[in-house]
Amino acid sequence: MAKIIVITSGKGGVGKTTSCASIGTGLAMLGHKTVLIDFDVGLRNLDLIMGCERRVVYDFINVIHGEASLKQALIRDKRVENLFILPASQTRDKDALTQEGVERVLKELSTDFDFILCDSPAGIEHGAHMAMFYADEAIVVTNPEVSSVRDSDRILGLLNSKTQRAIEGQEPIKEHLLLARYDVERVEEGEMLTLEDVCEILAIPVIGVVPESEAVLKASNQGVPVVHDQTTDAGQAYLDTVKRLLGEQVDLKFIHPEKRSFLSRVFGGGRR
Amino acid sequence: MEAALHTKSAKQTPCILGSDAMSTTQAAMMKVSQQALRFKGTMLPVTVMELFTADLVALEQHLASKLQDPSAFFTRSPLVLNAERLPPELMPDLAALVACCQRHELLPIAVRGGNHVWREQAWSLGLGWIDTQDNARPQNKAVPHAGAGLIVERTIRSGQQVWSPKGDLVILGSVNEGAEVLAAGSIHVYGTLRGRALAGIHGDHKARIFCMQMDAELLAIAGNYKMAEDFASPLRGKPVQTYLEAERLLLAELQLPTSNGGWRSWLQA
Ligand SMILES: Nc1ncnc2c1ncn2[C@@H]1O[C@H](COP(=O)(O)OP(=O)(O)OP(=O)(O)O)[C@@H](O)[C@H]1O
Ligand SMILES: [Mg+2]
Repeated sequence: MAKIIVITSGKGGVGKTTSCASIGTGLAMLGHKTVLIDFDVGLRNLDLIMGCERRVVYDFINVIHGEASLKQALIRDKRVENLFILPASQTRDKDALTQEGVERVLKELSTDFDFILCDSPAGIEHGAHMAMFYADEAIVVTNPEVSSVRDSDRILGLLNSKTQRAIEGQEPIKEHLLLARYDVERVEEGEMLTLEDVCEILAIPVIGVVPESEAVLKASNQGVPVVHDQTTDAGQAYLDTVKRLLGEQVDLKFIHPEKRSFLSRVFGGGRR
Repeated sequence: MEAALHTKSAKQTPCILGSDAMSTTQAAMMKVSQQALRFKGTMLPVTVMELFTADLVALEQHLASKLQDPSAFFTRSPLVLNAERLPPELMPDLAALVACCQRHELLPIAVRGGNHVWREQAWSLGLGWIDTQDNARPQNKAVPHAGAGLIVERTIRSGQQVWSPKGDLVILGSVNEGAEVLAAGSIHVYGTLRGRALAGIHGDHKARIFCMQMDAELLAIAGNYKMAEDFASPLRGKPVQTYLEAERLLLAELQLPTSNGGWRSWLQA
């Protein structure tokens, strides 16, 4: 039985798709058979970040509506074994995601995969609801800013009330905080919330901190998830995240400014 | 004979209109003197008249007998007509019911429950419509506590509302920005209060609000309220209690040792 994990946030553009691509790739790299499902119907871009946009023939909606089989729609990743992508439809509207259809597809995938990652669209509407409904775990992607934290808080409320596990009174969804685009310098300057601030408000365990990194944009443009490049900070942060997801204990990196020497830290260098 | 209706209310004074509440309102108005008006969400104690029959004659008789009693405290007070107990296909004519109420010096201001036609009729008579309890209040899955109060062991998140209709409300966690907690009695927050807290919603002036860290958006006791901008900032982040004294909402620091569990306990690893 696969573990179903939703990557969600409420707020748009915080790094859900980037995280879904890298975490999914990381899981497969470590030997776990993984499928990534793009729930962002009408705005699909998981296939772009995964670099398989030219190989999309059928999509998730086709499968839901019985117009194609899962076998036909699943795209096999070219770089890593055990990794598949189920792309979203760019042409249909999001109401085409029916609950029964989503359930049927997830059930079918469950028998064959170890992990199913659902890349949620932004917002709290139908698409986001469908992406989280059947989840066992949730990775809540948050940026260190007030509006993102507030939206994540709202999403956490919905995870606790509007999902199958909540409605049927099963064990609650396991929640993880992924703090993305963390810019230690700006945090130091007081321009962004600290890790402590965010943890204090959201009150869920941290699964990873991904630094703000130029490597992410480059990787996206090339269609190669950043986790492939272990010389980059973001790549390392994502692989650590995957290891924690698998139960390993790994210290958080990139949460303290690095280049400043011991002395400048002691004497503060004029900073607060 | 069974009662034809049932009037229930904890307190008749709608606090926001009461003279004592005017000071708060006036103060607020002075601050925003450039604006013509301002809307504020609030919980007012108001009398609800629950209908058990659609028979206007029986209703009229019941009202007449009830209101002969000089101790009847609810004359001339605003009234919500609640038809939730009536089958939707069996509603009394609203215009006739309103006229009946007015004859007995009761002032219907809104209806609750009823059917589609009733709602339309309410609108044309200049009455509001209040959502039914079930729709308006998201279920909170908290365990009811023996003393009619409620203990909730989780963080109350943005968009969530927790309501203790009969007693105190105890939150073992924080109330985040955008969340709302309400109680007939006092509210205790063993965490940070960042959202809205409304205690004494049925008019209990003795209700209080306690929290380990004060960062509220709004505080209200028995309809007297303060917005974030009205509290003294030195109290922010401190353990604070809020109480009513001579209809004024006061905040005071609680003299407790500050505990600091530390955020690191939230980290997995
Ligand atoms: N760690 C990072 N450092 C720098 N840029 C990042 C980082 N993570 C994401 N980005 C950039 O932020 C933008 C949004 O990322 P992404 O598409 O993953 O967000 P999303 O949450 O999926 O957005 P949407 O809500 O639109 O689906 C992209 O341009 C991406 O390159
Ligand atoms: Mg996305």
